[in-house]
Amino acid sequence: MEVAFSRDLLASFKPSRSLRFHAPHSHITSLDFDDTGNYLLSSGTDESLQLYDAQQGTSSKSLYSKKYGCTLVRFAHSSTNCVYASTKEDDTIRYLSLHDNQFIRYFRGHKRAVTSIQMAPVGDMMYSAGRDHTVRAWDIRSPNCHALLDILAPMSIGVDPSGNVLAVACDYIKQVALYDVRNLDSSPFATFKPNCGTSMDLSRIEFSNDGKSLLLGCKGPRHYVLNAFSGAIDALLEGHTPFATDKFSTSGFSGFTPDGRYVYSGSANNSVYLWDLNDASSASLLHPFASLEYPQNSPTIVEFNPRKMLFATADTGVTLWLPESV
Amino acid sequence: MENDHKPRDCYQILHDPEIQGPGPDGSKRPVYRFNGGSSPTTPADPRLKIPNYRPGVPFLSRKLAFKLPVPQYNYDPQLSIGEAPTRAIVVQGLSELTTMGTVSRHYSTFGPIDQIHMELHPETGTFLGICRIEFRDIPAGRGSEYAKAAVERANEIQIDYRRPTVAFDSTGSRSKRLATQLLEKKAAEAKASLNSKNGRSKTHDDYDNDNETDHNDYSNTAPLPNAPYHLKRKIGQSAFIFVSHLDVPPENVHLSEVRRFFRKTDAAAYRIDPKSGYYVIYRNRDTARRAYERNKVCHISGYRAELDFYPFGFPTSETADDRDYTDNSESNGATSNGYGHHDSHSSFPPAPNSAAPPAPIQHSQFQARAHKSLDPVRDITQDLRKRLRTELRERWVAQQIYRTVKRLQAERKSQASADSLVAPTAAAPALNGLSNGDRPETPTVLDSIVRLPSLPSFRKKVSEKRRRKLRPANLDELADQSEDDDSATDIETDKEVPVKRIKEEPEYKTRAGSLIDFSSSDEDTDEEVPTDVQMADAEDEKISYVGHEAWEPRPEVSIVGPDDDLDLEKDLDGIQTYVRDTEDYDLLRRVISDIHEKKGRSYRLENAADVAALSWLMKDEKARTELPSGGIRCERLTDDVKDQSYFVGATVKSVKPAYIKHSKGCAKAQGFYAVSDLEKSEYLPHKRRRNTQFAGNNLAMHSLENNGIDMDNGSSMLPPEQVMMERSVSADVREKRETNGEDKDDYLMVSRTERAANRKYAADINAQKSLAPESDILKYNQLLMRKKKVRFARSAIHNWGLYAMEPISMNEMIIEYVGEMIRQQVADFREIRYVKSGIGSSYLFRIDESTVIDATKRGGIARFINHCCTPNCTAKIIKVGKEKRIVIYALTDIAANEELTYDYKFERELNSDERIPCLCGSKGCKGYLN
Repeated sequence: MEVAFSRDLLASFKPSRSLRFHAPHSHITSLDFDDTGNYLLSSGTDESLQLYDAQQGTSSKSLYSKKYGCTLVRFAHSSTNCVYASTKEDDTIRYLSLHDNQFIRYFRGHKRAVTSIQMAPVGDMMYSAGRDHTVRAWDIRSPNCHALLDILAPMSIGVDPSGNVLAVACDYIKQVALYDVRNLDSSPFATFKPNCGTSMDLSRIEFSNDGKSLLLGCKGPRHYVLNAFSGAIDALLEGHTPFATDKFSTSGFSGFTPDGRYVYSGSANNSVYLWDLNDASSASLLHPFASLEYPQNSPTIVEFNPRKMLFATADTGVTLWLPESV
Repeated sequence: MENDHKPRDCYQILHDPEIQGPGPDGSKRPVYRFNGGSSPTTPADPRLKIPNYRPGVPFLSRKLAFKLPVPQYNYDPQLSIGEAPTRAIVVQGLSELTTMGTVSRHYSTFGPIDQIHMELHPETGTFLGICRIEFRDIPAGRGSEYAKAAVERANEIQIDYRRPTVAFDSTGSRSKRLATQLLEKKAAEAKASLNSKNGRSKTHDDYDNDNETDHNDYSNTAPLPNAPYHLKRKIGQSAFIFVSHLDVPPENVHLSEVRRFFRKTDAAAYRIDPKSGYYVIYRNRDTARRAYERNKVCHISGYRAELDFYPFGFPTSETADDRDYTDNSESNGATSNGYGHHDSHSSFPPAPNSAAPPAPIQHSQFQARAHKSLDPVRDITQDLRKRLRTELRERWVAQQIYRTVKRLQAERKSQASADSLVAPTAAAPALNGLSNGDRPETPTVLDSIVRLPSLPSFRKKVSEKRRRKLRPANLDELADQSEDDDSATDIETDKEVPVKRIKEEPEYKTRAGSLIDFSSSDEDTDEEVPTDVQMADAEDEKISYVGHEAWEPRPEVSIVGPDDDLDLEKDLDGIQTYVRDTEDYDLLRRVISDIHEKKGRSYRLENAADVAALSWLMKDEKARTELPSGGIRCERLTDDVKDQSYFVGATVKSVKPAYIKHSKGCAKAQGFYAVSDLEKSEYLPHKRRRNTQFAGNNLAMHSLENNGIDMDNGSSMLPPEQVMMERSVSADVREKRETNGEDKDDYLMVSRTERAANRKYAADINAQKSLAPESDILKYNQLLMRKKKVRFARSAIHNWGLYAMEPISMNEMIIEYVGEMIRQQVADFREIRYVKSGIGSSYLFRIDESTVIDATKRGGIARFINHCCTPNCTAKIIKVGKEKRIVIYALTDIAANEELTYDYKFERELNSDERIPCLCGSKGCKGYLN
């Protein structure tokens, strides 16, 4: 039974399942839904990967990567495979088969910690950014790095829905650079410098599904929504409480809903805030229309399911939110 | 981090041998392009090249979606956040008559129900129509689904023509709230209605309003027909349908035509009045109404008539009578309605214009009933009146008439010799119209019988039917007071009356069956009256037997127990059984006070000490001369020198000394000589029949002269001298008995250890069996271990019996009844066969409904155990292993050499012609085996 996005619907979301399968007191560092929306993967500081069944709301599998550590886990296009960045030993990205817990491939290249991994919407391309000032492009079929982009301190990367544009956000120089994915060795075709305050403190950059907007999720008190083509600020999202510090990089706590109209963000006051972009006129300050509270839960990571009306938040355990029954 | 940025070349791969295979030059190394290649161009926005740039270029994984499905999570107690969704619902709007079962049935279609709670009115306890249903949580977590389904599909359920509404109710507060709301609403309604009637309670006017709709049609604006008085009286308050003479002329059309028309309407009566018309009278107002509704216009014999319906007949109070066709309630209601409306029906016949009674007549049945309830006194007095009439009729009037008749009879008898058959015309009219006790022409026949020489016809049977043609019991009392007793006995002395009927003491009358009726002939059986008169007179003295429906032995055989035969004098024990309380004792004293001395036995009582000593002496003597099974010694009061005494309930009186003096020196030299049964009975215990009455199981042996006591086989007639000799002999018996008591305790101890040893043995056997399950050798009957020492020998009760060789204590297992185990059908078949082949005894013992043990041809010696009405053993069915076995247990402590008996427990067949007489001869003998 499908329901349409609406403010009322989004405001009616309630936590429905609490899945605490990571080791106690260990934090979850990343969440990712697979392409079908049926599965959810979480990686934690306890060096384990937890696979959840989003359809049932239960835990499906636990996988351990004690040797290499794991973070920034991403589903491949196949629901049984995933890639994740290692935290121990070296910084290779590892391609894991979930069903038989065997590594398929290693993607060696990064010399320092990987800060972001993104899969291209179609095809086998994968992009990763690391603290070694590189953004690499990989074809997951091959261990050879397909492209390398040298850029200062890339914090986050995002791929547009068509798969042609790679947006790289550099917090240090407060710019977002857009590259053609086939010409990563060339210069970016567009560079956005949003007019923001002191520091953006970027955590995440995401294209909306309609390709029109670009969200800069920040750890600061304000998120930025830019026009994906022009780079102009469409909206400034405020109202949430920024998180204090982060001991570890997470996969982000803000993002677009699959219809591209609403923006969600986790907040330090144990709530998830929602903004409606239709309210925004150009460069206006936007306040959230709803906040979803759940005191037991600190939404350091928030992820919306691409194919189902549900989203997940995580800190030490995963919470699945469902809208209230119609 | 930013400081250590060392710029480096960017590159893009051009050929990846991993994916694309070896290069054109065969190399397996990737080929890169650095920094944009040789001619780096500023790239353009690639998105602009896409026509109609739209996300969702084919098969985009994260596509734009405006609608998404919502997954449903079942409640999981561990994982779910929040409380479990409710699995309880509240159902509202049910009918008050709905039962819990109905509700349960309907709602269990959604899921299994855990509990149902019906909200009840706190005062009346009636169901309010609100109930809370909680579904079971099986399988786990589904309870909420059932509740959800019930709520969603609430309109599918229809109970008692109502569609209840359903809602969730997790805590039950909702159902309570609804209930209180409903109660408040009801209270408010009640109050409102109360107030609107100026504080009066609901009166007949209100009822009237309630039921107005039903009976408006029959408001009877039509005037009542002008019926003749007797017809009005007859109809009374009954409902009737009237066909006017103007429509159907009564002189032309017969009543039967009208009757035919109404024949299916269940009318009570039809009347025709030439002046007014036809009346079709009904018992029941409803049937009348229905009949009227069916056809308001009728065509009878070509005439068209419009029917008039008068549901309340001719409403006057004077017609209220037993003759009313409809219920009394109706009539009472109609008349007692509205306490202020009597003026309209003060007299009858009512004038036509006032025939239509004012509004209250329109009252419904309900109102009528309400009125009835308002005047119970009237109903009660009516009832009483009726009862009084009937009682008077039955009791007093009938008696008076009977008395007159008897008196007339007596008179006629005294004139019997002079007159011939004189018709008792005087009596006849007086007897006319009596409902019971009709005696037409009684005196004439009686006279004839008296005078004619009577041929004695020996009528054996006095059927029970005949006996019941007596006067009703209540008139028996009159018979006592009647002065006809003398005449009755006079009649009787003409005939031979059996000796045993002793008239002076009526209480000790023998059974009626002994009466031999010497009436004229068998043809006279038709005239029951004369015999009745006789019987009645005879019965006069037998008041105590009237109405005795309890078990009786067959009447033609006189079974006189010692209690019945007055000629038997009981000994001290026997007399003591008479005295059960102080009253009896006083009476006995009075009786004994004038007892005369007997020859040879004088126990004159001088003082109390003597009494005590004497009684002890008597009892002691008795005890020493008898076997342990006690009994009461009776003596016959005759003038014979030889006292004929025999024992009732005792086994044997005395034992003859074993030594008999033979003339030739020894028994061997004496030769063979037949020893009579009587003598044999003295030293052979089994020859002494226990129950002398039925000795030999042969009823023909009964002879009426000596009251059925068979002298041959029973009473041992010992001259008094021999009694003295017995004493010495029986001393041994006494000793033995004393020692037996001591042995018992030891014996118990021994038996206990024995039993323990047996159990160990049994356990060993079973263990062995389990090791080698195939071996048949170890088949072992546990019950054999518990068997006591018994032997079979000739029995005093019947043929052979089983005797205990050792003393057996109470509740001990004695022996198992072993025989062939057969099915019920086989047992039936065999029973018939055995009877045919002459085996008189039955050795079939039932284990359960379908299995029987047959020890006739094959079995153990337990088959020899005889029946006794006061047994010392009982049979029980126990399970050994998996089988059921019949086992005989001891009911009492049994001494050695005592015969074992148990109650056969045959089915009581009171009506059967073949009742088996019991030979046990015990004190509590029931007389028959079945």
